[in-house]
Amino acid sequence: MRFLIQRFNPETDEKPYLQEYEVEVTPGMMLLDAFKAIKEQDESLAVRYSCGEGVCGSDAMNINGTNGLSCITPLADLKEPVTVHPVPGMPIIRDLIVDMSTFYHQYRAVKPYLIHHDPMPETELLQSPEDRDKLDGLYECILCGCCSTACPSFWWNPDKFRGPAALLQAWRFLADSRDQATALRLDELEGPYRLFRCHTIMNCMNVCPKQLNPTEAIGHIKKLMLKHSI
Amino acid sequence: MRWSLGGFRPWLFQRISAVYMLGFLLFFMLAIYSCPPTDYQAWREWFAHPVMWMATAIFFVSLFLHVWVGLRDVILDYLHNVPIRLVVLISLGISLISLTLWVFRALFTVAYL
Repeated sequence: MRFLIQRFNPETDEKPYLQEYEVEVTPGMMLLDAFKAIKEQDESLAVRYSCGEGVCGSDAMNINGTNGLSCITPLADLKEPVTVHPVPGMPIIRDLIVDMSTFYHQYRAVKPYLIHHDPMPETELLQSPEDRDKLDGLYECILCGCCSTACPSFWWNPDKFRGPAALLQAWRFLADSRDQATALRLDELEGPYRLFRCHTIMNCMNVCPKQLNPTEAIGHIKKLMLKHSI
Repeated sequence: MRWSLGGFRPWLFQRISAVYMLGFLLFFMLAIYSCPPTDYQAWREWFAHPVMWMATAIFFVSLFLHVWVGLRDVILDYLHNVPIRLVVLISLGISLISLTLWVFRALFTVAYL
């Protein structure tokens, strides 16, 4: 099977270029397995991966034009030649490895942790099963960055727009019955950029390898803002 | 201090104005279709009626605010040079305010002259 992989070493290359590789494919192989085979031919290729089963979110990349995780993308589903680029819109460190700093900055900015003002109970902070169900489809995010780096609004304003991944987490804590910082969280999302650069393009939900729906979460945040404003 | 362009209010207004404009345009087309004004005088009297006059005024104000929010979004997305962005935003604002004044001049002419 033929692969065209974007290479770029900022120390020696002026601009990125595509390099061709040929890999013998066996049934059941994932794209990550192909990378491992390629690294045996050419160990200079830089790819980031860790768990190899879609849990850690390290190996997000642009595969034949769509963002995804190489470790859970079966080669059988891909059209030849398989063209792989780093996720778009981020500074390239080397080959397929990008600098995710702005992504993490936006994630930190939404305060992705429970804020509880009342004195903490002696034992656990309890939650009814119904309230817990509201977090399904939100807590599963692995922060791979496929969604935010597929979002045109995030490409244009990565320093100001929170991006789908961070906004999904913003909603994850707004929706949590144990969180007591709703007004603060909503206040911090006000303004023309942080939340409202989202134009419901829906690339985020199309590419999410965990089938989560940031667009829907953003809609929920807007509805909650409406409820709090009238 | 909050001096920046808003987020929530423009977004909400974009939705409300869209619904209003859709309703007004449907009503307007239905009215034109079912009982078209026979001559210029009838047309003027129709617009001079207080309800129609007010509905039309609200329509144009909604339209220009809707245009403001929409084009403002495009400018915020694509124009990253701050001085250029400021000039374009101000020109857009002045154009839309001028258009609003022009519409109101026309509407006052219909109602009072």
